[in-house]
Amino acid sequence: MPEQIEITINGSKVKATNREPLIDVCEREFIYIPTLCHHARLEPYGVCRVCLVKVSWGKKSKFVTACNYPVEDGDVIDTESEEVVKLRKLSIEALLGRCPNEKGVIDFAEKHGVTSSRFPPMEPGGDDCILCGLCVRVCDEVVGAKALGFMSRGPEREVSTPFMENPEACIGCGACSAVCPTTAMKMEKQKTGTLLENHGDIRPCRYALMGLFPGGICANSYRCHTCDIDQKFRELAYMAGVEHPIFIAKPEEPDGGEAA
Amino acid sequence: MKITSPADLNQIAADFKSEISHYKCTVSVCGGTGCIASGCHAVRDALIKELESKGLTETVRLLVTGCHGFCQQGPLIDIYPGNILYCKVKPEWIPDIVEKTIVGGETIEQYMYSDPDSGKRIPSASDIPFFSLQNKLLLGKNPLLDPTDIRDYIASGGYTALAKVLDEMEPAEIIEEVKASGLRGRGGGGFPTGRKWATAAKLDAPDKWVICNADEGDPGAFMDESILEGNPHLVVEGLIIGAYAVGASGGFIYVRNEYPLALERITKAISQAREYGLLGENILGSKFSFDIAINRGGGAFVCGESTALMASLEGKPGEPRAKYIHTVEHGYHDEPTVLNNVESWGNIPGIILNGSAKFRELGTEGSPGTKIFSLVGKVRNTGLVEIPMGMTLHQLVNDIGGGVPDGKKFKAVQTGGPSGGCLPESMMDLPVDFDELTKVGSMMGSGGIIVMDEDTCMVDVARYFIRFLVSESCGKCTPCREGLHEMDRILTRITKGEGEEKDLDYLEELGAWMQSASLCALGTSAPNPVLSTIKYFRDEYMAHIRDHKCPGGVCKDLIEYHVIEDNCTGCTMCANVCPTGAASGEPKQVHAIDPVLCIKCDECYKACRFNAIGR
Repeated sequence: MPEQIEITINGSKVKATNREPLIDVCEREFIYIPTLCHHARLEPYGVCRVCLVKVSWGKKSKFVTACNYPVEDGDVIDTESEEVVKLRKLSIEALLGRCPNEKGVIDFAEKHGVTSSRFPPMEPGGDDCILCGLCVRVCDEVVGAKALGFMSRGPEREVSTPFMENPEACIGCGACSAVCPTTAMKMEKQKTGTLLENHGDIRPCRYALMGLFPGGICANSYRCHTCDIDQKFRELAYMAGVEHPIFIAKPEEPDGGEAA
Repeated sequence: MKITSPADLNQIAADFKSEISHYKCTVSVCGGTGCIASGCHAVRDALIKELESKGLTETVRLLVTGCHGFCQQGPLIDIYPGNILYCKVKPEWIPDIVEKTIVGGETIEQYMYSDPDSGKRIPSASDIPFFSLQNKLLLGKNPLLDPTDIRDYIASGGYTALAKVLDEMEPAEIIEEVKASGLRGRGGGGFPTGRKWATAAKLDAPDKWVICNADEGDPGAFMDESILEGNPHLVVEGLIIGAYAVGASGGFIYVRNEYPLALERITKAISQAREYGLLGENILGSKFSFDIAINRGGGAFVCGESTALMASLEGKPGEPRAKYIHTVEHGYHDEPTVLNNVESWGNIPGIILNGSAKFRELGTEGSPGTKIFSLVGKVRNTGLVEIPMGMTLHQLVNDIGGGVPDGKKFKAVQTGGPSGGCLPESMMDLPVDFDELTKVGSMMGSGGIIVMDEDTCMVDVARYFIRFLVSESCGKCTPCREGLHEMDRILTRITKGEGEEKDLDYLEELGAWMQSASLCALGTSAPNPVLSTIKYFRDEYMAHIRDHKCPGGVCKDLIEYHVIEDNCTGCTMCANVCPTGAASGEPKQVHAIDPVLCIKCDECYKACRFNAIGR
């Protein structure tokens, strides 16, 4: 039986489960927490630092990320003070500086009151990727293909496929581009040829590889966009309110699903 | 042989002592990293040859040991009895030393340490201020211990602490003793070791782990390396005791691959400990079983951070994760894990053997015991020093370190590695302990101390450390990745004379953001070099920004070499060393430097003996 606790968010007392992620409590209480790297169906990663909030216990206080902070009884949380908003805006400003021409980032920044950035882009023209890792994580945690990963470190960090080549592990499901909050992850039509090669003559349907469809062999030469099965799963996803069919196949684990 | 009881341990000690009793004299050659670099292997070879040719191998014990600490004066040899120290030893001196000191028993003045102020020669290491002001709890055994022979360690009282805990102490008693000692994590965090152990011991899990963090990555730091090289069994014994106390079944030593000698020594130590039954099943005949594996780090600075280290151990990329759930509870493979660094583990046998009260005799109330520092930079006596905590920076830098050489003025001391802070002269009376250094915007870190003189540019220093951190940041979280890169850009601009006054506010804003919003301790401490230099050396930043001058004479874009005519004697030295012909003049006439030809290589400045080159 999960232990019920009481915490304070922005001055109001709120009930929660012990060690529940703060962002889930806030969502239930309709307290808006902006984030760029969090996805309800993925393990929290805590890297964009946009969901920063302040938690205090008596005189002590600390800034934590709401997406992965496990709440404890008596936590006093502040999600909207000037101090918090200032730090949050600086993280957004840094990402806007990195991707000055990326529409998703520009819109998100504008929504949070950031319209210009003092950070110049690291490469001319700017980047498309904010390194939130959603694509890497969805490919690993949900699809199970592990076709994406991070490469290099520090300012050179980037998302890549193994050895920067067309990965054999990729099943062309498109979950990465569906979760990408920017336009960095794209499905490239001309590369489906490589996927055909990788899978040889017997080509399982990508929905079969995702575990959505029992053992089907593709009869449509991997042209998913003209395939009835694809259309059906896309409709199902749309009706369930998720970005990609993969999220209907792997619903959230019931309680106790987390590794001990 | 397998040791199955404390009595066996005593037997091995007695046997080994009688085995070496025929030696009348011990010659200890320092084989630490510093002395290897200054040529101790040639000295060792010369000694072997000379002792053989004189037929002295049966009476003289030749030891190549771990670091003695006085790296500035290496290669060092210590001769016992008498603790006679010869400095900067050359292989040519060996026949003389063997004949006069080893055979004849007399000391040779010109090979001894000479006091730089009085010029007096000091024969015995224990009388040299560099050594006499230290308290070598951990490093003390180094000069007299063969690090490749477990029997030597046992003969010096090694593994008796382990025998004591297995024989007469309950795990809870050990933890109480460590708690009472007040030992705090020597890797930089300063977390109370006993409390960490107590948390791990309470948890009920099928597997628990102990890890020794030997991924010492701070530039210029070699404390942990020297313990592993000089006294590896000390760490192994500490780990076994810790494992017994918390109920761990396995342990790891995470050593950086750049320490080949430390790796070799610790590997050998572990295999010897296994051979003697000190690792493996039923240690010392008890019911306790435990073993240690070695993991080599791949060279990432961030892997010294606990969660990144454990990710790396698990075979994942060495990147940190949030520590809202402590690694003590969910560490290696999500199981309870106690991680301490080399120095912390090394303190354990002493605490068990001599008691926590004895340990508390040294150091301060909040930070008991000793701490090893690597003292480097513009200081006379560079090397490895172990001092009781609470000693002031002044004592450390001036009394032990001998102050700044070449008549230069002291400017700053940087503590705590790349993400520590720079402290000015006015802070020199600060006691060195965990809390005091953090209060003033620096930190203890793992114990690097870099002394800087008047020829140092503080903006350039801040930029140097930020660059180091830019290349070592894993890039996972936004503030550390983008913030460090941005700080580097601004600092570079300032060193080029293109800075603006508002840059300082911007740097402080970035610093505060990184301190609050970064994911791991690398990011939260990374702004320290910038924030502390702005705090204590703001005028130097302003000189760059407002006057376009570099007071330290380091930033090439802001300095122009010129001849100070009143001082110039026309000695032609500057013209002789100038590679481009920019410095020129007739002998005995005032010289001049052509700014167009000058490439700012600093050679004329260094060559001039009359202070006649200005910059």
